[in-house]
Amino acid sequence: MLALVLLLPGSTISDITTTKHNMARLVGAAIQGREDNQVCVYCHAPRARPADPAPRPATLLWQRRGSGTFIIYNDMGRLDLNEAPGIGSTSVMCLSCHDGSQAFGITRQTYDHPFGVPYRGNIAGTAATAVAMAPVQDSDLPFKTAHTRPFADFRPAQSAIVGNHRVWWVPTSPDSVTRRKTDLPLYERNSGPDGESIPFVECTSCHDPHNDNVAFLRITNEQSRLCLGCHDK
Amino acid sequence: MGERMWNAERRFRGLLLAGFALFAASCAEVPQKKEDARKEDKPLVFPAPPDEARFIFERSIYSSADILEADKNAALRRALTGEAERGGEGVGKPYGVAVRRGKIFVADSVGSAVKVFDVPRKKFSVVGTDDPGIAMPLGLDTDAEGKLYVVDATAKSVKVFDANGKFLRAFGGQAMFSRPTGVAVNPEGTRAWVVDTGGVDKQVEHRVRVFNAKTGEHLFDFGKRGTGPGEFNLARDIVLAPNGLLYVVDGANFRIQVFQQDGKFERAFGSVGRSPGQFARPREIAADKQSNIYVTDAAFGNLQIFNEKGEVLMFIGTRSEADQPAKYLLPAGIAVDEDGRIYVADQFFRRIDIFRPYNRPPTRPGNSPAPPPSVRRPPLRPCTRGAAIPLPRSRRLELSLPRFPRKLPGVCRRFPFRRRRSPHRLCHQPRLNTRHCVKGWGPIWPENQTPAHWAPSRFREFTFAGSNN
Ligand code: HEC
Ligand code: HEC
Ligand code: HEC
Ligand code: HEC
Repeated sequence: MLALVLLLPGSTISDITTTKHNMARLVGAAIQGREDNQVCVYCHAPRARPADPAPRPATLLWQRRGSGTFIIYNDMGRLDLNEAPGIGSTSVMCLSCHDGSQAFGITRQTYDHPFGVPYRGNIAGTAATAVAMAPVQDSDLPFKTAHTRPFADFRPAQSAIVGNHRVWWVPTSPDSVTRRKTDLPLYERNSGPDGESIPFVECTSCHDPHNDNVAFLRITNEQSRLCLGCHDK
Repeated sequence: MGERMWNAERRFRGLLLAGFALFAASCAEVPQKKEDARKEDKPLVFPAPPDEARFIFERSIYSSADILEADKNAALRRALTGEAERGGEGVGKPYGVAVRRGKIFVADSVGSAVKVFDVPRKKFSVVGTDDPGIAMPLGLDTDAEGKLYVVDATAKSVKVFDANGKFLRAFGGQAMFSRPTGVAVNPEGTRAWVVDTGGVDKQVEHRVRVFNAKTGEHLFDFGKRGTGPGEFNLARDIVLAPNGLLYVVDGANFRIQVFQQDGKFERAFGSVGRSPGQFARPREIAADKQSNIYVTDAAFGNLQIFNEKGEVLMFIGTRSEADQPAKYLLPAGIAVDEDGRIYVADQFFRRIDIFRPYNRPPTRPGNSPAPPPSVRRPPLRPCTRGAAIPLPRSRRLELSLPRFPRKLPGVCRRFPFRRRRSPHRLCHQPRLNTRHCVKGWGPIWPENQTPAHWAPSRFREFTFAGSNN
């Protein structure tokens, strides 16, 4: 995690210690000897670092196999250090805390903004379009209006190859080829019929859990600026 | 067993073997699917071989249609057509789970009610629809009488219902809690321990508040915010284990803390990380008769089992986007019943998975639910001329035993004999008890058999566990 922090351009992670995502606030002592990443461990479970003493092998008394590490969701976006496999989306990771117990609950069943849905602006290729048109995987998603808006109601998305991944975003200022901090990221899933890259809207398209804006929004929503980042109407 | 019976049995066996030979001949080449089918038919045991099996997947429940008889037609239709639509009433967002004598209580935090799946009695009911309702149910517990205790996060109180779901009383209230989440009640129903999660801005409200569960009188508290022994950071849930100790999920300290009933700190276990015995997003907790402790973790997508001392024994489940048994994205509530069955709720898939101890027969009455459509299985085909799926090795062996074929493994899509002759009838006479049935085969078939019952997937939960083919 230390390495992670160093890798980041200083501006990416604003000071989250003053936000509600600093769960170490008012706690007093450091979390179990991991002072260096106190505020991050709540969302990024640390991997063993090279500097750590060899991890005590976890002996599962009833299970000799499987004492490696568990696979966690894709909690680092696409820029994860080790390219380790991740399962699930960043939305799922938000929902693991935002379940109404320690933080507000958000659901797919109520009329919260759709998430985990394909983006609909400038989706190139017929296959990708088909996916964006197809019913959302979770068939009983009760958004009565899901997929009612024509593609033309959305601003075009951009994409570029970073490392060996395709990265998608919706530019919030005149289009450019590089992604900026104020752009709204979309999350690639290779769910097209032939494994094409399809950009999806997730919680982190609108929220950046690391910043100190109101409600962790990526950009302010004054005059619906956030909404108009994607919606063209 | 009378002589007539024996004869019938012998005749039957002859038939069966003849029938089987036929299949064996004509089913030899069911192309490619072979490997798949074998994989699908393998009972899900935990831990996986070669370790000694402790638990076996029993069934998943998505909605009332999975337990109600009235919906059987729908279930049948689903099974036959693979139709994705699922009738019945489900759980919008399952949170806590509690079980008492076969009744599964599931808190639906967006449905503002507790859904009750009464598997043995094949009944579905809803608690909390009458005044005063439950705005946002989270943690649940029951006492020995079957009274249900529900944390209402919005009303910030614990609501008590009798075994029939009638509202009795509430205790706590807006002034008492910041964010109540979990509750534990002793079997006598005299004392309740309620976890107040607090909040990131709160200092003192990270604690356990103790009540007289009969009168609602607040007795005392223990814990405050911090990382030291006996201190909490965003605690999530609590359970009273049969050994008399309280186990508290201390969420943002990534550990389980153990207390005596008066709040005296005993010990703690767990740390932050990604390996067995550690936690990343621990949620709910349960205990079995041996005081083994079960903890779900939403980041790992699994449940870990510890002994009462906190040594990790095993885990069940993996993180996956596939809606299948023992695969989770957002596991939440967990409960263990009197027989040691484990019930886990997943909020993403809105599903309850049930695992039974490996050595326990599925003696539950009530119909066996249709397998979820998403559980991939070979498509149903009529068994014309032995279009059978390949048999796992162990079962082939069993069939060739010169003994009464106690169980017809999922040889064929449709049962090859007139159903009247089904050997299962033996097990299905109420007079006969389980001794007459093989291990893993209980007297549970409903009287009016339907072809769907002969679909191989139906057999999955009854097949011999432990075949390690
Ligand atoms: C509230 C939960 C939360 C906390 C606390 C948190 N993160 Fe994150 N972090 C996330 C999520 C979710 C993502 C994925 C975001 C995305 O894909 O845009 C992420 C992604 C990242 C990434 C990868 C960036 C990228 O674009 O893929 C880095 C680096 C990172 N976090 C560092 C940190 C550091 C350092 C801290 C502590 C100061 C921290 N995080 C605290 C939730 C959190
Ligand atoms: C480790 C648990 C955790 C995770 C993961 C998490 N949050 Fe939070 N979040 C919290 C807590 C705790 C609060 C504060 C709730 C309170 O007490 O008001 C909070 C508050 C918020 C708020 C309200 C902020 C405010 O100022 O009122 C937003 C918005 C939010 N989170 C968004 C997200 C998003 C988006 C994600 C996923 C990227 C996420 N959170 C992941 C724990 C989490
Ligand atoms: C389309 C953009 C968008 C998406 C997607 C989105 N949010 Fe939000 N969210 C917002 C906006 C805008 C607000 C601020 C509302 C306001 O100003 O009160 C907000 C507010 C919140 C709050 C604070 C709630 C409150 O009442 O203060 C939380 C918590 C939150 N979001 C979590 C999530 C989570 C978790 C997800 C994914 C499951 C998500 N959001 C997805 C736009 C979004
Ligand atoms: C990251 C891009 C993005 C942002 C930002 C965004 N939306 Fe959306 N929104 C979508 C997409 C994509 C859909 C279409 C989902 C579908 O039906 O397939 C959608 C659908 C909707 C719908 C439901 C469809 C309908 O026609 O009724 C509403 C309402 C909506 N958005 C409102 C908002 C509001 C309000 C905001 C600002 C808080 C906002 N959106 C911000 C991408 C976005």
